[in-house]
Amino acid sequence: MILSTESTVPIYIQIAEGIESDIINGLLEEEKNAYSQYQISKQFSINPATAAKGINLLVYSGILYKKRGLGMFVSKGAVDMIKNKRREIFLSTTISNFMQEADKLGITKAELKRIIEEYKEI
Amino acid sequence: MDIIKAHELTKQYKDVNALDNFSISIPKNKIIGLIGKNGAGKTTFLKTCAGRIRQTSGEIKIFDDKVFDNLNVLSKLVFVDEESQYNSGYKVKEIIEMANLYYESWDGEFADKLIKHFKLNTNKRYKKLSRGMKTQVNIIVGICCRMPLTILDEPTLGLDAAFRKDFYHILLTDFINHPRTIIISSHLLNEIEMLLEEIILIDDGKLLMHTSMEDFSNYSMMLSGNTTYLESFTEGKEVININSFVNTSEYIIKNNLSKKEITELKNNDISIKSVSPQDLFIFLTSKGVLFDEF
Amino acid sequence: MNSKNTVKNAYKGLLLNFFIDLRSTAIVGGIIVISISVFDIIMTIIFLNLDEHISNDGTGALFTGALVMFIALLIHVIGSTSQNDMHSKFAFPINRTIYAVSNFLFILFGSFILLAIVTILAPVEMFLYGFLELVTHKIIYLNQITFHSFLVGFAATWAYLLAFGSLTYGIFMYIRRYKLYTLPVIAIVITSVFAFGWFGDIIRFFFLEDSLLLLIVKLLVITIISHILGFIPLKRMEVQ
Repeated sequence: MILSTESTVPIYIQIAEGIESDIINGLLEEEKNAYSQYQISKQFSINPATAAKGINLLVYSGILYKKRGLGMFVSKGAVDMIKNKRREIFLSTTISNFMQEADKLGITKAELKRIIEEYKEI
Repeated sequence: MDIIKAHELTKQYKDVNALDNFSISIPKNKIIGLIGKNGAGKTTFLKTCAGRIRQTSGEIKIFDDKVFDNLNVLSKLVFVDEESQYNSGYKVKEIIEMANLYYESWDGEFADKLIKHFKLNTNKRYKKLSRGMKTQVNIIVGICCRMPLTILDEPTLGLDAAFRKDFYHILLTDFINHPRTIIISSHLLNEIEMLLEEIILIDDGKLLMHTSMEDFSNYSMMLSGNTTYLESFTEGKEVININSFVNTSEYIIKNNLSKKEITELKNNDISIKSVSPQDLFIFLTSKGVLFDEF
Repeated sequence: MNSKNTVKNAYKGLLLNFFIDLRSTAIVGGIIVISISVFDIIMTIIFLNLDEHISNDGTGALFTGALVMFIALLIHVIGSTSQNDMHSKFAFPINRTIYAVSNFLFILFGSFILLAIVTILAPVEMFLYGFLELVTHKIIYLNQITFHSFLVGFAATWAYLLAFGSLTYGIFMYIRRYKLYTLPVIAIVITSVFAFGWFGDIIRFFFLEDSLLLLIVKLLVITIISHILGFIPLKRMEVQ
């Protein structure tokens, strides 16, 4: 997980996204311990309340859960949940931005298709 | 429980109000940033909290009690000055020894650790220290006395970037291990925003805003695109700052648009970005006259 | 934390603070006293070489020493009422009552310490003169001071130091608080002292008092009044 003060994305959202990325990268495994509020706080010198807020975002969406006395754990099926969520964002937002920009620059769909196919072949 | 309760606090110097009807409640066990330009009244407010100066009018209660000359309250707080604050002829070890006598909760072990960490020569006299080293001594006393109310006025003055980072880390770790109320004043919000749970904005001696850091990060948004379109779109909305260039503009507005409005903006080729807390602070306190008049 | 401990800690810290402050004054004062004594002895040796017999009252170091320490104490007290100095003391948890009481204790024991330093130097000087007499086989007239007269001198000097140190402290508290407004008041007081011919009375009252006990009582009254009056401007004084 990497946090950036330069980014305009609020820190607690960066934390939530960072933990998600570490889960899909396999750095954090399902049914195993996730980072604690204080671990994150100390590691990145950020306020523990901010760290808690980032973690809580993931608790609300069911990606993390709290085990009494043992701390935060990654939920079973978290990887799929995150991938699904990101896929949705990718399909709804990223692709549409991408298409809009291509349209502005006068790149045709046929060209895009070709580029995408060639990209896969690399 | 609120640790500081100020009600219509005013501090007058000659014909200037350094504090002007300043009312605020500051909660317990949080790290709070007091942010304002130089001369905005930060130090005046903190000195009033620390019982160094008396308000001209209004009321301030610290731990539900008056603070000026009240040892019961003063013995629960520490105020670290931005200027050199200890007797210039003293050796560093004498200052540490004095702190040890004054503060029941003094953590000498931690102080020694920090002295080693900063590579301070304790036989040196305070006046012979560089500005940065003086700041380090002040910080060591401020942290190691573990006061329930710790007030740090521009604590990183004279420290280079690496040391400042170091200090923030030390402060935060110690806060986690020993929770207490810490108020840090600064005019560099970008540097301390990560540390903060709440932020107090002060300008011209007046309270501009007191909110959680999260709400502050989400407080505003930047719209950029066609000037004529943005002009009509933002009509009746709270505009914080406008920056125009030829026929495109950047509008900083309050972040309270509906989903429908956001789709409308996107369809009209207006880009939406969030605003960094430091930029928002500058926009809120500069009133947009910065570039236009010069 | 109970408040009794807080008060105790404040006194401990502040008194340590005051006595570390005294260190440099004591060192500077001591060096000046030693220098004057050394100068004295050198002069004596020069005169002895001129084949003269010297009369020395043997209290050189005691008298000049007390005078030097008197001036040193006054300068120290003026310095310690400065905004900078108060700032460095109020950086720690104390209140104004503790500050005022500590100031009294400091002037009381600080002046004793300064005099004690002089007292230690005096026998050294006597010894050196004796030694000089021995090697040069010339007569140096030394007035031996008795233990009794020494004690009387010491007590009276201590009382003077205490009273004048306290008076300076009291006056400078007003100067710190009311700045230049204090000066016309002091000017008026001094002018009226001379105009009404009270100057002689004051000198007689304090300096020509025959009874040691009465003198000390008078000086102690001055001391206490100075501290009480000094507390008035301090009570609401800000520490910038």
